[in-house]
Amino acid sequence: MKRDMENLNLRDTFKATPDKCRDALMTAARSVREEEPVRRITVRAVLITACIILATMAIAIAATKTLGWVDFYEIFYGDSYVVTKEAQEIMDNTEQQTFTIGPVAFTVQSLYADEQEAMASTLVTTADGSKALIVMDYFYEDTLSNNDEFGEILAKLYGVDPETTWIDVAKKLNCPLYSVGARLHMQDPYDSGGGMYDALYDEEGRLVYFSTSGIVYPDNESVAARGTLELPAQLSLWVEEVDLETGDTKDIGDDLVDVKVPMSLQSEPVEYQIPEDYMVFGLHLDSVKAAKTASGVYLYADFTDQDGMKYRRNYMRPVWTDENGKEYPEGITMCHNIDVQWPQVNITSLIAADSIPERIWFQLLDEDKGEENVPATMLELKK
Amino acid sequence: MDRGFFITEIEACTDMMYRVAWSILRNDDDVQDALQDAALKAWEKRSRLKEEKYFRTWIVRILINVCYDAQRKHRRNVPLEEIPEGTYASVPDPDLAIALAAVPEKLRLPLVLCYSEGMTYEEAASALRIPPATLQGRLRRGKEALRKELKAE
Repeated sequence: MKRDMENLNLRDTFKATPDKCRDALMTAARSVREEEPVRRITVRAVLITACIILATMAIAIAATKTLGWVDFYEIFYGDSYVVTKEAQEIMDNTEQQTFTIGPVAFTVQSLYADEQEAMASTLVTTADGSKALIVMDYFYEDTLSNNDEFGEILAKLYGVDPETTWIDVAKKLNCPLYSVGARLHMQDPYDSGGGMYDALYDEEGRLVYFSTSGIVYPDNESVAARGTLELPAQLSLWVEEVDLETGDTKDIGDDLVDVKVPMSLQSEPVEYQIPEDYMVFGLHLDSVKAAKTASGVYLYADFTDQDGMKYRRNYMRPVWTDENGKEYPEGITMCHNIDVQWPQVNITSLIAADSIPERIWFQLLDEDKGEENVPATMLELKK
Repeated sequence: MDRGFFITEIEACTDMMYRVAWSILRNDDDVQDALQDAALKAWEKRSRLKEEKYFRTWIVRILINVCYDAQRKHRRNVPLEEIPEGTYASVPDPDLAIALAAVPEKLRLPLVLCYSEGMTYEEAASALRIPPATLQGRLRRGKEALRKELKAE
């Protein structure tokens, strides 16, 4: 059916509001009081746990003073994701630019991109070095203890009880409290729309804001056509000051600043020799290709479905291991895509390897099937 | 803003709030939490709403922030493949819904605000905290992405 894209009506893409959502919203709305707003209500017991989890901030303190993406991945994901040396070198070469909004300075510490994702880390401090608390987004109402084990460290740093809110810490220290953001946005035509953001504090309580933005890299665009390995992007910066008495915020300012993100292009893909008629979950393995980038090695496994979509996409996970049976850590763009354009099923992974392995072992797991899974198979680069 | 006005407005905005929250979180349990949190946060911040006629844009902005907050806890946008099977079976236009779900969130949300909720470019830009020109660019690319998804079906 042909759609009228100029008079698009997306209302029909939603189901009716479920009663449980409507009830939860109206119960919350009716629970408020003129004098003192209710902080949080729970519709049913199970929600209490969910709400507590939601209220737990993911901000952490790192033991080192210079925080970067290595710290970000280590603290949040352990050893699951690795920043390669090559990517780190590109990040380290970022020209440090500082942008000031009112009393707050944003120093861009690192910028990096490959053809999948762009990344930025930004140190946020007071511009004149004066004492102030700086909190990511609107988390100023949370207590320090909401930072898990790091709440204790923050509490010690500020000489307060971990159950103290950021607002009360600012009151005690008699200093302003700022709520800030520093999010990376790719510009046309590179912006895919995806991305994430988070923050860490260093041992001096300084905030480092981490932000990523998904990239669409046009297939037909060559390095020569652009003449540069930098992509145009913008950092959306904003500062609000929190009124310590009322908890309201006042806009101090915001800005969209242009930045150039150094980009690592992928090498020409090379192909692995694959076993003849290799099938897994009704999927026929057509090809496995690899391309090198500073982030690591992108692996592309292409299948054709020959069994009427009996595979279970949500449970499938590609596993890439070396000759010792050790699984490669994933790369920093966290790329793990399973793209289905039936009957084609294309799986893309990023492994944090310094070079394209001559031999690699591949297994497509259904994580619910255990022993029933097809064992790993060895693939060797075509000569 | 008094309590009566607040409740009346929230009630009037319920369906819109559900659709906006669903567009980001794509999970009814998370949406339920987000709706509650947004209502409570809005009441706490009611003094910031200078003109009551802007209630709708204001509540959407708060809701979007709450949803991003929840999303941040999960570290990542909800991928298409994690949306439970059969989710779109009960919507009036499942083909369009599936195509819309495949559009990246940064492009999807402007589409929803303008083409489902009928917001003006200025209202949607304000709710998303982006310049109107950026919003228009995302709408254009969002429609292209949607068209591509519809063709792929």
